[in-house]
Amino acid sequence: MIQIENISKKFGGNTAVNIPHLEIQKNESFGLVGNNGAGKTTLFRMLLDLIRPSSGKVMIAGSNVKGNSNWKKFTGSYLDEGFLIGFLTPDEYFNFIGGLHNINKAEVNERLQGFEDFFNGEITGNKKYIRDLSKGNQKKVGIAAAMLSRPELLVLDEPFANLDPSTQIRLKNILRKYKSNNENTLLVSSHDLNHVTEVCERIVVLEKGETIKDIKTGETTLKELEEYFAA
Amino acid sequence: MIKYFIYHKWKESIRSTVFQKNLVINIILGLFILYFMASFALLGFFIDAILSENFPGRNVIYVFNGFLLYYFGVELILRLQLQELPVLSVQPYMHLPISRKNVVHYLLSQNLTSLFNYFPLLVFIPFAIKVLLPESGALSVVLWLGSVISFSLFLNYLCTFIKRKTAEGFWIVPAVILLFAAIAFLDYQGIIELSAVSEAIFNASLSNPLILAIIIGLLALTYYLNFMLVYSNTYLDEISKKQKSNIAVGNYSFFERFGQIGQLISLEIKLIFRNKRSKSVVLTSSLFILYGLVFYTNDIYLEGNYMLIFAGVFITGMFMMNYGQFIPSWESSYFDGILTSDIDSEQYFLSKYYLFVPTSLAAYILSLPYAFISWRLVVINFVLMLFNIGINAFVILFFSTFNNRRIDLSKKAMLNWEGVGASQFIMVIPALLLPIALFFPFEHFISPVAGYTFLASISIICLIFHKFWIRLIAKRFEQQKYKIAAGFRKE
Repeated sequence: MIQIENISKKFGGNTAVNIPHLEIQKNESFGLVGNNGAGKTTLFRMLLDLIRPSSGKVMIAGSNVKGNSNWKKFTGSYLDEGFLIGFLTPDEYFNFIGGLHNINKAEVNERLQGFEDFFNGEITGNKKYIRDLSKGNQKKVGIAAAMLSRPELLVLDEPFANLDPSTQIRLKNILRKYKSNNENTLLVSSHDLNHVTEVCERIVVLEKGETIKDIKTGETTLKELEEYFAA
Repeated sequence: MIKYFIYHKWKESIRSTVFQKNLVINIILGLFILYFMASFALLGFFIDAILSENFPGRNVIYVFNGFLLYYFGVELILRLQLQELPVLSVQPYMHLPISRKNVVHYLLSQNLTSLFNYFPLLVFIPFAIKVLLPESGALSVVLWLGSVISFSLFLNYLCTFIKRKTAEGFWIVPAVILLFAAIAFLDYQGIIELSAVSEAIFNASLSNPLILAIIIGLLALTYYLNFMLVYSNTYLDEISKKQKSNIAVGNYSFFERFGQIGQLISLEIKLIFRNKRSKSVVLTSSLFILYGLVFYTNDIYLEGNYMLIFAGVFITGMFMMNYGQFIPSWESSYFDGILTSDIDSEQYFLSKYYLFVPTSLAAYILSLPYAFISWRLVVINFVLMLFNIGINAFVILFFSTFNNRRIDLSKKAMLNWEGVGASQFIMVIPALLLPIALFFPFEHFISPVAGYTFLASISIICLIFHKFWIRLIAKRFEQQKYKIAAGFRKE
C-alpha cells in the first residue's frame, strides 16, 4: 500500500527524518512510536504530501503522492486541529467532507450512526462551532471525519491523546472494526504503548528520525517496548 | 509585583511575533506613527494662529476650549472603534498567589499604554505652553492640562466600560455615532449650543480647581465601574468565553447543488460571515461604493479619464482586492485539512473566482445611481467591472500564492496587520497600473472611446479564457503549497 524510499527531511542543518526503506502492506495495521521530536509527525506529513521531502519519495498504491492527488480519494487522515474548520459546526463539517466525496446528507447521517457511542452525545446535533469544542471533542470530530468516506487507508496521529478513558476504549473498538475489513490499512502513531500494541500488528520505533525497531506484535512486544523506552 | 507586570508587558510587546517577523511592516507602521505624531505636534504649535485667523477678534483660548467637547466626541467614537480590550493576558496570573484585586488593577492599567492617550498630548501640551502659560500663568496650565488629560482618560475608561458591558456588540459604534449626530444636528439647528457648554466648562477649569476635581471624580467613577465589572467576572470561564460565538446556522444548500465548487463557495461564505475580520472586510468594501463621491463631485476629474478609471477599479473591485489579498491566509487555521482533502487546486481557485464575479457585479449594480451625476460613469464602471473580473481577479489570485502568513480569524479587524506581507503591497501596483497601461496608448493615439473599447475587449477575451488563467495559478500554487502550509503552521 505504501512504499517509502530513501526519504529524508532536513530542517536547517538538522535531520528530522531519514528512512532508507519502509514498506507497509495492504491490510496491515501499522503503529509508529517514538519520543517527542523523533519525527513521527514529520513522517506523516510527508506521507500526506504536506511537506516536501528533502530527498526520496512516498508512494501510495504505486504512485508518488507528490504531484498527484489520486490517493486523496481513498485516504482518510487526521493529524491535528489544523485539519478542522473552526467556524463550522460539527454537522456542517461532516457534510462538507461528505460533499467532497459525493456522499449526500442522509448517507452522512447514516455513517455517523456508527460513531454514536464514540461521540457520547456531545458532537452531532449541537449548535456549537468546532472552535468552541474541547480538545477531546475536536479530536472526535477529526477522527470521524477522516473515517467518513470509508477510506482504504487511514492515517491518525496520536488518536488516543486528549480522549477520556471510555472514549479511548470505544476508539480502539472502532479501529479494530475498521481493520476487520480486509481491504483496509491503518497507520497510527502513539505515545501510549498499551493502546498501540493492542491495535497494531506491526510496530516501528522511530528515534531521531530513523527506524530503530520493526516488531511484529506478539505477547512480549509491550515488555520489549517498555524496556527500550526505559533505557 | 507591579514591577513584574510591567516587565512582562514589555516583554510581551517586544516579543510579539508580528513585531519580530515583520520588519517591513514595522517600518511602515513606525513611519505612519511618526507622521501622525509630527502632524499633531505641528497642529499644537500653530493652532493659535489657525484659530485667530478663522475667528478674528476672539480669545484664542476660549475658541479652543469651545472645540474641546466636539474633539472629545470624535475621540470617543475612534476609541470605541479602534481601541482593544486587553482580555486574555491575565490568564497566566490567575492561579498564582497574587491578589485578584492586583490582577484587575493590572488589567485596567494596560489600557493606559494605548496610543490614544498620548496623541492628544502632542496638541495640548504645546498649546498650553505657547498660549496659556504667558496669558494665564503656571497654575492655570496645570489645572487646564490636568482637566483635559483626565477627561481623555475618563473617555478611555468609559469606552472600555461600554465595550465590556456590551461584549463588544457590533451595533454599539453606529449607535454612539447616531447619538452624536443627533447632538450635532441639534447644535447645528441652534437648539442646544455645545460649543458654549464646552467653553464654559474648560474656561472655568483655568481658574477653578473644582472642575478638575469633578473630572477626576468622573475618571475615578468609570475606573471603579470597570474594576467592579472585571473583578466580579475574573473567573477563567468568563474571561475566555466572553466572546461567545453567535451560532448562525443558515441554509446554504443552494450552493451545494453545484458540486465541489459549490461546496467550497458555501464554505467561504460561512467563513466570511462567521468571523469578525472577514465580516468587516465586507462592510468596508461595500462602503467603498461611496468612494466615487470623492471623484465624481469634482468637475475636473469628471471630465478626464484616469481618475475615473481609478475610481471604477475601486468601486467594482474593492471586495476582491480587500478579501482576495489574504487568500489563502483566511484558511490558514485549517489549511492542512484542505491539502489532504480531495480538493483539486483548479477547483479551489475557480471557487474563489466564482466568488469574485458576483460581488463585482453586485458592486456595479449598486453603483448605477451614479448615472444621475453622469451617464459616462455607467459605461466606464461597466468597462472596469469587466477589467476586474476579466484581468484583475487573476492578478489578485496569482499574488495570493505568495501569501504564507497566518491569520487568526477570531482577532479584531481594525488595525490588524496579521497576514500582511510584501505581496499585499506589490499586488496593488499591477491592479491599478494595468488598466491605465492598457487604456493609455489607445486613448492617446486614437480616442478615449477606443481606449475603453480596447480595455473592455481584452477583458472579455481574458474572461472567456478564465479557466486557462486559473490553471496557471493552480500550477503555481501546487509548487508553492508546501511553503504556504509551513508558514501557516507557524504561530
